[in-house]
Amino acid sequence: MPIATASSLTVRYGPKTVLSDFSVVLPEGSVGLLGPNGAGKTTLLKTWLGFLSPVHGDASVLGLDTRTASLQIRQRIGLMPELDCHIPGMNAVTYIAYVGELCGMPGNHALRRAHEVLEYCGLGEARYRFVETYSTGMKQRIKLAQALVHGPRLLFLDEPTNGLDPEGRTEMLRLIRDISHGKGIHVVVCSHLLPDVEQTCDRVVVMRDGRIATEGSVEDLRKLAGVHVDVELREPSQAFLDLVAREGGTVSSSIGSRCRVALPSTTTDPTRALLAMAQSTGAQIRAIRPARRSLEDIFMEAVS
Amino acid sequence: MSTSQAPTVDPPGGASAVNPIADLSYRHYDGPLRTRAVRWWIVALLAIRGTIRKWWFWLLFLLASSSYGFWGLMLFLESRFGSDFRRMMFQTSQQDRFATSFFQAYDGSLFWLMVIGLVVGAPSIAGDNRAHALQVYLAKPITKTDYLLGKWAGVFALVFISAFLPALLLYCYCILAFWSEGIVRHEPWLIFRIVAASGATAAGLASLFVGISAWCRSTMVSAAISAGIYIATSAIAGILWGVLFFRAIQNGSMPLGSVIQHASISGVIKGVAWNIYGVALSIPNMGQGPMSGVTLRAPNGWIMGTALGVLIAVGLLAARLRIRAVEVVTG
Repeated sequence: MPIATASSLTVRYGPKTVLSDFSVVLPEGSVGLLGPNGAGKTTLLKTWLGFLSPVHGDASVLGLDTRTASLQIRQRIGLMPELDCHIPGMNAVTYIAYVGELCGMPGNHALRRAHEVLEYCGLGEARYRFVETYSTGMKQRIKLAQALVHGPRLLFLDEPTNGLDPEGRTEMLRLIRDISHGKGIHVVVCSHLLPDVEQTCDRVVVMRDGRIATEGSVEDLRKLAGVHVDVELREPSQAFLDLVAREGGTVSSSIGSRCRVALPSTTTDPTRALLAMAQSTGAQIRAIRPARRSLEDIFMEAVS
Repeated sequence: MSTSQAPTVDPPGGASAVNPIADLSYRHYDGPLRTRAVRWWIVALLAIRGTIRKWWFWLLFLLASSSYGFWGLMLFLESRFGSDFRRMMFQTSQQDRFATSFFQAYDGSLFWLMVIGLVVGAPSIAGDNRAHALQVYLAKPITKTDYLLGKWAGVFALVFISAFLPALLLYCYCILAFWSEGIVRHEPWLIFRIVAASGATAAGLASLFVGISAWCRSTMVSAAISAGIYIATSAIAGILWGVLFFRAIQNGSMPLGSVIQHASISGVIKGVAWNIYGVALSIPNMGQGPMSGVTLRAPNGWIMGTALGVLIAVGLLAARLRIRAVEVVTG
């Protein structure tokens, strides 16, 4: 079952159309919503949460229609908003327990669960401090804790690493990866930071100007069409590169002794072919590996 | 000196087997869930629990109660010194003096009830707006109406408690001290009047302050606007009524300004309570001055009731319109 869908969705802020005839199906697992600022990621999230009403089209979350089953959806999901948000005047454990009670948990269950979730999110030592006194990293963690307290089946994480230092970011990404793999929780990570999505998600949807620019599993998107290999030579060899070109290949990039080579699609054994070319030009090959695009390449290609 | 300690042995499965908090792994919540019907009460309880722990609430409560203490003392003195004292303080019949005392005590506490409503109600939604807490609330399975009802009920309950408890104490004193005079026979509905007047006051103040709070992003601004509206309308209505009152007295006619006196937030609330208590007030101890012998009666109950209904409806509607998880700029 898809975790969230949108079908011909149009969402407007006054005269400005943010999502126009937008359709997407997010499969189970961890999905990254990527896109430059203003691409419509957060708007899509807010529409799925029922915060915004689409002027046209349908949206569903966990098989439930956002128009008719908003409360059931919110019972099953957790939201970690982008903005700093908390309920003022409370310490962390009271806050999380209160949020649990808002989700319907009885008081004693909510309190126990609050302690568990705060420990899980690494706030065990600071659980009796007022949330207002927390650092940015701790505020991010408590936003995750409040999203998790009622045991949601789906988590929407909007820019989860905003304002975190490298150590805090690594820890947050580890937490998200831990939640989204093997815990039975589906995660939608909304971010413009590619490494965050790369580390936590199995699939990505790249958005641009309210439309899908590209989508698929990270593995599939990284693969290049045709026969692409990265070759590492002992030392740079122009003769080798020239021979590759003469044999019908293309050198897409060459930095120092490393180059990315696209061989003709008829090449059945690229390793043997490259070794033969190296032998005839006197070049020494150190390594040959299948070329893979980085998420940054995919993103830039999609939004450019 | 030697101490003997029993050797500690980890239970099978480690510490996590006995202490779930020590187990840092994530687990799903599969415990019971309450129905959604009571979730507004969770929101209300937060305000109530948070406020009754504050010292200033009890200070304001004491100040609001002081007028009930004063009128309790007057009733005590009246029971000791008889009809002369009653003529001086109450200028009413022996049976009516209870309702009159309760209304006068209520009137004396109204300002402090407003202050309690203000300090509890002004930050109720404005504080959440400031901290973006609405995204937390509305991402959970509660509706905007649940949220508003909870916020309103929190303020209502605190003002109601502050209005009702001291009146209840005075009522208990009256029952014990004046049982032989037949207080229950003469005033069988007095306790219900106390409940109704306290409820009307709490409903009016809660609606006004929560309604204004929803439109503010700062608790100070919300408090300033709320207090400003309350005090300014009272002052304007008071001045207008004063002018009309003295003009009417000089012309030898009864004052026509009783409704104008109530053309303010406090006036409407007091006017409704006056109708609930159903008393006529004489201005005591004024000798032979122009106000001697003037009797003030409750303003028109329908007008006051309608005005309070409008105040409550407008306050709640204004708040409901403004409650949303995200700012939508439509300009």
